[in-house]
Amino acid sequence: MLANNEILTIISALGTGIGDELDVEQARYHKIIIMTDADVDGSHIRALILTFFFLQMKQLIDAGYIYIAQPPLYRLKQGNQETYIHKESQLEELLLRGRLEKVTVDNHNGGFSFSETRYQRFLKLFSEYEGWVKKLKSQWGGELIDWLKNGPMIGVEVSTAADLRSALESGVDDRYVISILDEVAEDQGMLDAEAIGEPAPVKAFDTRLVERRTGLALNLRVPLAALTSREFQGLRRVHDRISEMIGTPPFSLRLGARKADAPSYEALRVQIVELCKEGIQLQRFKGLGEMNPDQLWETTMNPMSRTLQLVSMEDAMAAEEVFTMLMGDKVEPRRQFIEKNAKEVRFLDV
Amino acid sequence: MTDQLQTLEGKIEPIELEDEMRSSFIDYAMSVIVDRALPDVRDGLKPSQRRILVAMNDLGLAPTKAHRKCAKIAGDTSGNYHPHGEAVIYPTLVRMAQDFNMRYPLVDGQGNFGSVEGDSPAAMRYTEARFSRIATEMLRDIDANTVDWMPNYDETRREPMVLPSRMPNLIVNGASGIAVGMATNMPPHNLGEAIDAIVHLIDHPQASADDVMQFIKGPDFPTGGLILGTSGIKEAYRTGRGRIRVRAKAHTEQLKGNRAAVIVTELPYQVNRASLIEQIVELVKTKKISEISDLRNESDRNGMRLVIELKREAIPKVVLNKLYKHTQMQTTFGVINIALVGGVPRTLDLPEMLKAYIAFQREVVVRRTKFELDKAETRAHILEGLLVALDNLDQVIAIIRRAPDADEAREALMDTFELTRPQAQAILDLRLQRLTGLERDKVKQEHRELLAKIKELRELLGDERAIYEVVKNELLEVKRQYNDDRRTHIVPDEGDLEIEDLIAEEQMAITLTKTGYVKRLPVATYRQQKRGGIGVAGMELKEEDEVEHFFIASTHDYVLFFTSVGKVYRLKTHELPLAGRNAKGKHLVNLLPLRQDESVRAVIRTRNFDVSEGKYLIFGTRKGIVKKTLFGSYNTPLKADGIIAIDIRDDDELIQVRHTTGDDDIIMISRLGQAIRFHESDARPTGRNTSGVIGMRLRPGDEVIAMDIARDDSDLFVVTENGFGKRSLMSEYPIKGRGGLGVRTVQLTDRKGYLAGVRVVRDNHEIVLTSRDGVVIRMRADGISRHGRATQGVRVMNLREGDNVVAVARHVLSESGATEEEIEAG
Repeated sequence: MLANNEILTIISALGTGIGDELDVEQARYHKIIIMTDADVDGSHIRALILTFFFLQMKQLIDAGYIYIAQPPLYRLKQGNQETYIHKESQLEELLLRGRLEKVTVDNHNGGFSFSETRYQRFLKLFSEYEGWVKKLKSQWGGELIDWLKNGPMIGVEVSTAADLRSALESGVDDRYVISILDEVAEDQGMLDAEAIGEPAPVKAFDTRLVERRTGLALNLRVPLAALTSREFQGLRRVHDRISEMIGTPPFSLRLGARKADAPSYEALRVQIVELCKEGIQLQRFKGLGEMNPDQLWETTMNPMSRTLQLVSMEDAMAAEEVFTMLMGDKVEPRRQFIEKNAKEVRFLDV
Repeated sequence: MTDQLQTLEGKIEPIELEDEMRSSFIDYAMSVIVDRALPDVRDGLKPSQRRILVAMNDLGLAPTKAHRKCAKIAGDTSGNYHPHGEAVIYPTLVRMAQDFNMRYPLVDGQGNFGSVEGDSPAAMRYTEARFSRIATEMLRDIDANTVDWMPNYDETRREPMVLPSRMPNLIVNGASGIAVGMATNMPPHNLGEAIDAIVHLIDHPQASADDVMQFIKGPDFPTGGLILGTSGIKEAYRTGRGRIRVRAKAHTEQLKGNRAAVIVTELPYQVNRASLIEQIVELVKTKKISEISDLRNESDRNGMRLVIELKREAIPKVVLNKLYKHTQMQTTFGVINIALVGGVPRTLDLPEMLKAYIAFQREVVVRRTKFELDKAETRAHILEGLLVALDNLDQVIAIIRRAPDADEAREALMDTFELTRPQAQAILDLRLQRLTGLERDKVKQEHRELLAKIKELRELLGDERAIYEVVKNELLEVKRQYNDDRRTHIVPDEGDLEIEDLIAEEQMAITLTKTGYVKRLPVATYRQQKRGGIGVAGMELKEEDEVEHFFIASTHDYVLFFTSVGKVYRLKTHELPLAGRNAKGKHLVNLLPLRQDESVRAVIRTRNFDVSEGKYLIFGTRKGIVKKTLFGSYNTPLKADGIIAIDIRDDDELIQVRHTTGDDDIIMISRLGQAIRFHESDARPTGRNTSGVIGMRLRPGDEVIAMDIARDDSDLFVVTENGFGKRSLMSEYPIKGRGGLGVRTVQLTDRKGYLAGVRVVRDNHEIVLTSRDGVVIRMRADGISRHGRATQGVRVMNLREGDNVVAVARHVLSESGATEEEIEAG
């Protein structure tokens, strides 16, 4: 590590020396700010530099001299006004600010516009809705679930194959010409259906959907079990609550002269943000090098306006353990840490 | 001043070091694991590779089109899909074009793409690239909704999350990558073998790794080479981890002047030829390998040829083994099959890996079929509208004529004939020409064909088996087009290189003196120095020491040293000190952990403890005990401090060990002149660590001084302390039962003294007698008069007053051809 040129530069710039010979009194600076790119490689370099300080210049951390800069993730520019965003979660909020109320949302029940609180309520319900959709899609496939959730089928009570057949035959969804092509019977295993004297129960219908507006044909297998599943019931419940609040898709949206169609709740959210983006330049920063010098000053470096994180070490023992685990020679503890902390990803038997 | 600055601050948030480390680290680790270093199990590509191929696809770089500059490809990849520098993209592109890295290169490069010699490729502004033929299989059907797409990094376009891969890229091209906390290293394989295995797995989903190995014999490296043995392969295929040893391919060529050269033609995978040459040069310089006289790299555009010239006396096989041991001419490929399955890293055994690919191919075929079906249905739907219109032509024309504008005409058509909007629009778009009879038939014909196709596609979708058949047939077609011969051959494992492999096999003459000095020297040395065979006569015998054991053995043979306390030690001949003819050699205590009172009593050489070398060992002790044990029982794992050869009583000691055939006679002779001869079958064979049975019963004060094998065509030579001796025909000694007192072998008197030594001799032996004062005399065995068994003998050695005979030795005097004999002292 000490052979690295950049590290040597840091050491000579700080003036304190390292390791046992370190003298905090000699520190030339009392704010040593780690500023790395906002992407994962930046995270990596930050971790490496912190490791160096921890191993060789621990006293600087104790003295409270080590800071981490907070470069922005996005720049929003509208006309002459620029806003910088430091957290992913702020983006949607800022894009919509002051514009959301101006978006007209229209479905067959007439138009309305979101207030900020109503939109927040929608988002809350929508996150539950998305959860169910994700589960259902992974089990039954995207096409089927998209068709079920975006049309009237979501509102139809189905508990038997007969219910499903009559719903399909009634032309419940007037966006499509629906024809049943075939019945799929449950696998009877060794039992011979005719020997029992009863036909095997139907478990799914093979259907053909032709979209009236576009003529696009879609071949779908509609399994009864998908509609009677616990997840679909959950989806139906949250769908009912959302539709009570804002109605059902499709929606048509308007902001000033701009129009957009939203055939689903997902599209509604995306399209609202898209509409509000109009006239706004959005730039995503991954590297510090993507910013002009004055932008860097304004967002990250200006002492008047910047945000810094002060690195503190409450529990030196715990810190020691973390460094040994993450930066040490042994791979096994590191892998265990990754397995335990991996978000969204289940690491098992690697 | 500090205070002032503080007040100017925007905002300061405290953050705990430990937390910051954890979150920074996990962000980085996760990103590297799921989005950088590991290949997807479906297409075997890492994101960087996939994005290069996608960018090339955008550029239309089919194998039939012209090459494009690599700088363009790297630039497009960086700008459109991969937010990293061209400097890291270009090497990835290059690697996909290198035929020594990829078993089936995905990129067809034009220009200098580097070499196995370790040369760098030319800069990307010079080199050009396009898809290789097989790469088109990776992208085939990508526009048929076969895979999922996602927004690129700046959300300006979309990129496929995986390529359709009609070629099992992961298994055939392998992969390697280092992530955080885990790494992957998968070897490449032969395409034909891989596809055969996949086809077998489709038909037999329960097949095990061993079943699959009927088809996939092992990795197949682009650089050829040899794989040693199948155990590492099996381990890797069964568990996803294993170590596979790979060797360079080499042969020997004869040069002028009776010299040989080792010619290396293939190297292990990923060995840099230039650095290998440096390694060899280094070995020669540091004298680790002394047999190499010259090294030339004759490799050219046609292939590799590394010529290692050897010195005259060098043995090519030995040099080659040294090269395998000390250089990258032998390497180990450590297999770690980690790939992303559903975005999660998993260690996969071979069947799992192939099944994941099969499942993906099934999905690709299903999605493609659905895509085609939907397309056909959409077209059929339009045609059905047209057919309605053609059947009701007059009414349609009337509706259109009545309508004020196109919109109303369409609405009216939709209402009247229950048409969809596109159907009505298609009718409005009809050209009058289409209304002719011929054109109407064409519409009907197209509709009929579409219906047939729709039926077919639908049947396919409804039949799981049929889908798998499609997968199979498509892969078999890929095999037909692209298969090639296996390049890496799998040879039986010779086991770990032992030191023997590095030492020339050579016959050695070994001497061990009475005082315990041992040495070896090449038999060839004797032959050059002394014509007429070998013998002690050729040795410089010092008066104060006697060669006690002398025999010939190969450098690869074992030498067993049996000691007076009943232990046996084992050395390889080459472990004995090599010394000149006149040199003393080294004392045994430097080689064996001998106790103070322990001396070597018998030496037996063996190649591998084979029965052909002698079925049993027979042991004789001073107290008259004999023990017979299977020779093979001494083939135990090596132990530095020896093993027990015979369990000996404290007041007894081992005097002799002999090989027997299982049908030999044993003779034991005592100091008081008794001799007993019995058949070895009298002594039941026992285990190694046993004490044996009574061979000869002794009178008080008597002790056994010799034991040997008795054959009727030999004589027994005896000599007394005072120098009297004689020969007696062995046939004069009757075969009696074991455990008796034996018969008299010599008439002893006070003047003659007790027996000093006994030897079984033949006419061509020479006998050497040594006295306590160090006087040595030699005589031919056939020059000693032959007497009856129980006679007194004659004076054979003149001794000064008070001197005694203490030892008798013998050696072979044959004129030629004799190579081996022993001499021993009593």
